[in-house]
Amino acid sequence: MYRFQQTKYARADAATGETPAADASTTTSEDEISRRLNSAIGKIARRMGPDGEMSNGNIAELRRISSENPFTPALWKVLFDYDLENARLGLDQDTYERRMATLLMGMAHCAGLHDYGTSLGQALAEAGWSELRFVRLMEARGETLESLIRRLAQYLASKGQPANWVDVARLLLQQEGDKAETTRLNISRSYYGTLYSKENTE
Amino acid sequence: MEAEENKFSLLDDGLFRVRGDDGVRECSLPEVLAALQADAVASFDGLQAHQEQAWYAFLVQLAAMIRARTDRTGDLDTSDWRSGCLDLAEGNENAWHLVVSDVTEPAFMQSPVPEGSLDEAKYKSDIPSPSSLDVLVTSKNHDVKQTPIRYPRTEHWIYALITLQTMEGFLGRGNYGIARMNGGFGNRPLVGLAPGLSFGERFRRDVRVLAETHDDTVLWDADGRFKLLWTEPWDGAKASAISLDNCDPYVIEICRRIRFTMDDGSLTCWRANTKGQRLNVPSSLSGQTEDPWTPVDKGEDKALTLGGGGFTYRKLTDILSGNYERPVTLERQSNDAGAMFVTARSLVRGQGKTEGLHHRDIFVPGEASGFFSQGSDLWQKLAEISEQRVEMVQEVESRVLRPAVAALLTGGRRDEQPDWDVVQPWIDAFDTRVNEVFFEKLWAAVNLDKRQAQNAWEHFLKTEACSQFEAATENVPIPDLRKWRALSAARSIFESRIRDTLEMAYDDESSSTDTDE
Repeated sequence: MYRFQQTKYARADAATGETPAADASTTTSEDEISRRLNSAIGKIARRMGPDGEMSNGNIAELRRISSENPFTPALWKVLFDYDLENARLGLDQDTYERRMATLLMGMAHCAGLHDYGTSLGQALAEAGWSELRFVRLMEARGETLESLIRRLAQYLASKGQPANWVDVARLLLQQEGDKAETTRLNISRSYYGTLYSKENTE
Repeated sequence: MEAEENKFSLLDDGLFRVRGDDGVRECSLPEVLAALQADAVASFDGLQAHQEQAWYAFLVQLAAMIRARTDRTGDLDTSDWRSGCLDLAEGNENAWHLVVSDVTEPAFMQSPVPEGSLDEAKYKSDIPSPSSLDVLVTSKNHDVKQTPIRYPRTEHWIYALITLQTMEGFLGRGNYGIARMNGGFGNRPLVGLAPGLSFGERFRRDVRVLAETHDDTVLWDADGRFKLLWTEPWDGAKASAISLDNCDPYVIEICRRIRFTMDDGSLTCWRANTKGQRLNVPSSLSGQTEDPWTPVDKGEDKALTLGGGGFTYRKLTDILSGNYERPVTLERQSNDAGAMFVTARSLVRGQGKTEGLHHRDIFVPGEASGFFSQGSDLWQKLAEISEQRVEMVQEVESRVLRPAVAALLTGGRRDEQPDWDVVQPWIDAFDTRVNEVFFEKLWAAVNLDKRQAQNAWEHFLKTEACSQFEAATENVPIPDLRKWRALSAARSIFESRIRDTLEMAYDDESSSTDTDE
């Protein structure tokens, strides 16, 4: 399996770790992987929640993930427990694991605040995340995006703002191409939509 | 009757350079008519693009008047055409010379001067070249150079003279225009059917149609005294205007007092002002002169004046779908068979400028030919479809594309007014795309039922609108800070409204693939 993926994604982009646009045969498996990821994120969030099974130590370990030290035993454990070690969506292994580390770091900061019903854009607008910061988030890629996700997680946590972390996963895992553009556009719509309705009610 | 000093006989001298399969020949006017009848003309050297319509209408009206007075049904030869031309001038050969020294006699497109001399009649010789004579008003040397012909040949003067006398409108006091036009600032459009696009194919068909319908007239007199308006003396007085019911239906007009003289071997062109139009036409007629090529707007009760936009699909749909009374050449006649072309031409005059030479030829396949028989079942069907389609395009432009592109420009800020001039090119690009394929797709609808036809059209509009919107999102200049706000607002507007506007394209995705429009 690993060798197959190595070959298949051998042409991964050096800067972002992403492969060129997937062909029709890979699209189905990508959809399947996405579904697996969505469901796993919900389960992980529940485990991190107040009545969850994840220990405070593990959550703290995930919270401490940084760009200098992205890989910790707690990360591998989560990936294996939820069969996510190879859900790479065309990324090379290293890039994929770094991004999952960032996602779990953010979720750990926002433990107990995952909500499928509150899209990321809406959550950011509700919490008062500025438009300037929002635009930076939409434009960011690679390490810049990772550091912004850290700030975003800390910000949402400080406001006690629930958000759908599947959106963050999408933003992190697919940073280039049409799907990435669609993801950003969907986040933007909900951000600005919420902003408009806030402006109108104020 | 011909004076010795007369020069340049259109009936006998090879004044026109005619290009055919065997090269260029210098032909007289009767030879030109014979060559056209034989469809042996590729082009006329020396004829400029903006003069072509005037030259064509002149030849067809002339030939139709001769044909209508001929008993023979077969082709006419050069001598027949010559005697036909002469008969129209009541045997006066002077009427077919460009230079006639006796100014009390007519010359080609130049009325006799009753005052007896050019000085007496206050003629001025301030027209240095043919380009200064005809209808083009150009303030700058852009598409057409202001003085393009340094050493004019006689044909250049003749083409310019015909263009001036048969196409010109009002150009200030003393310079009145033709009657076959809606008002002094209008233009004289030509819209008709043709079996092919060569000069000869168009000529033969129109001469036949005009000759056959010569008597179908209300305003004119088929046996009218005047066939060539320049044969009658004209002092320019308002009271000297000639009444329509004294003229042949295809009378060849003149609208200005012009005379040519020969001085030291070169042509000098003289002109004088007049106090009114040559033809006495009440302004209430608004150009409805039964011109064989001019559609009449039924709603506004006036002849079509083409605008600077040219023959767009909207304008042509209007003309073909029943809002206009079609001219006789635009009706399918009993001898017309199979596929044809709609040919539309007009030089659009503007105040102090020229707003373009517009020209469009549309292929009409045999199965769609019923659209050109007003009142037929196919006409009803296509007229209805084409009007609906135009409305739908209008809706997509105004309800979907315009606000969506505007949202991109304002960065999604509702309190900001977009610069509509910047939005317009995207709407124009969409409209241009529709314009390119409108009729092709309309003819394809002949074989479809109403629902299929609408479905196919909605899918086409959806594809084109999406493609223009995508192009706009990539190219409209948006500051980085506003990019996501602008994109999300614009896309929300576009997607929600296009679904409302083109419901069928979204509800009925599958059936579109069955139609091959």
